[in-house]
Amino acid sequence: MPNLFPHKLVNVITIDVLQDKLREMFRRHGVSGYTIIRVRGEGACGESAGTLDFEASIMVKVILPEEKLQRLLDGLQRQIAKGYHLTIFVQDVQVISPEKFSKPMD
Amino acid sequence: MSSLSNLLIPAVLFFALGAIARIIKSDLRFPPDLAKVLSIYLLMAIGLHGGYELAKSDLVTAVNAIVWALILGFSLPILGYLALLLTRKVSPMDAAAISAHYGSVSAGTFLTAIAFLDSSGVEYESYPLIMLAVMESPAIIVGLILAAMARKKMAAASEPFVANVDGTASAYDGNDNSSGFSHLMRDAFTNGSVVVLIGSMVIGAIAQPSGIQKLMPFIDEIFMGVLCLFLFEMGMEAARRIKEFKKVGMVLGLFGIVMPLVGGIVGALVGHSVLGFSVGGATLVAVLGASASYIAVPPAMRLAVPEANPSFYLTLSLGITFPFNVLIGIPLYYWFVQYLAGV
Repeated sequence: MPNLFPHKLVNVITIDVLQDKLREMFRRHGVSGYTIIRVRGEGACGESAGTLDFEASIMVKVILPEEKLQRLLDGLQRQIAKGYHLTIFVQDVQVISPEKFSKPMD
Repeated sequence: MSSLSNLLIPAVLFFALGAIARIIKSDLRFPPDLAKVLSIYLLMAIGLHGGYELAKSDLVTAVNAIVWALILGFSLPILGYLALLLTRKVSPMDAAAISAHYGSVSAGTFLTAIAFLDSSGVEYESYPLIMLAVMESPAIIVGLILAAMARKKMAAASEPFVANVDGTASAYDGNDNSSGFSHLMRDAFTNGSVVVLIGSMVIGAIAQPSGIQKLMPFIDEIFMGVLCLFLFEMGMEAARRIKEFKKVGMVLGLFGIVMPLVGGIVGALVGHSVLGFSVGGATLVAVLGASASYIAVPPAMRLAVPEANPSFYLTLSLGITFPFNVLIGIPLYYWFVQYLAGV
């Protein structure tokens, strides 16, 4: 049995222009890092083909310890309350080096 | 001048081809980011060209053109906002976001107008190019102010919604300033297309003329071909909006045609009667007044006015006004300017 530690993976699908806002939020919440992927799809805001800049959708992935999860989710919830469209889901993941995810970004 | 001659410009024909490809559900797809690459090229080429010409031009006229570009940029969105509120079809937030698009300009439409004038052998001044650069930003600022005012009003009328003192949506998280007003103002002026256009104009103006001459194959000879490619893709993008027409409805759809006509008339009057441009130059100013942004303004509104529905402003500017201007508007404004000039 390998040595694994339970963590949470937060996935956020949203529009490209929110990138800076999310980055700022992650920094405030002491997140250790994040990954952004460009994605395409269709949903409440219609089709997002991503051919034009303003339509590009992104998926942001953040791994963090459970104790930091609620605060981050509250922050994301506030963005939704402002009218931004965010699709958020959280997964249980296992990591091999938990210390990596407790250090905030520089 | 029959409007048919505008339709038979290769660039416009490619626009139609793109739309048709989309309508017949062709599997044709442009690689992602191509539109962005093409638009950077187009702005760079037109900027270098214009800057080179402007270096030889009259400073007083240039300053005059800038002042009138600002006047148009600040007043057209307010006009659009009031007209939209009168229709009672959209919320003040939507009205603010839509009118910001109509006060700003579309470089694609402007370049199509240049292709139209070139193919008709009509001369034009290079001053409208500075106006193109100047008019990108003011409408974004007006849109933000209008949205902030509407938000404040809504917050005042109770609501669980809390707005900042300055009306920006950033109230919830104290130090989140990425949608703060000053931040957005900076964004409006450091917008990518403004930087490329103004930067290239400065380079065109100060670079050695012999150096610019060497660039001519790049900025001049292949220009119309790149414009064709760009409009090809934009035709596909515009036609993709057709299915949204129902959501937008008759009245708003009509706004997408009446507003450019009003803006075109105002622009033609400014270009011809106030600035004293030639028929070609005044037509370009009319096109600036008539066109609606679909590159620079949508992301700004998405970020700053999340309450507004993007399918309204995108369908209007990209799906209705852009094709209208490309196919009908440009020859119409040209005809109107000719009428003003008594040609």
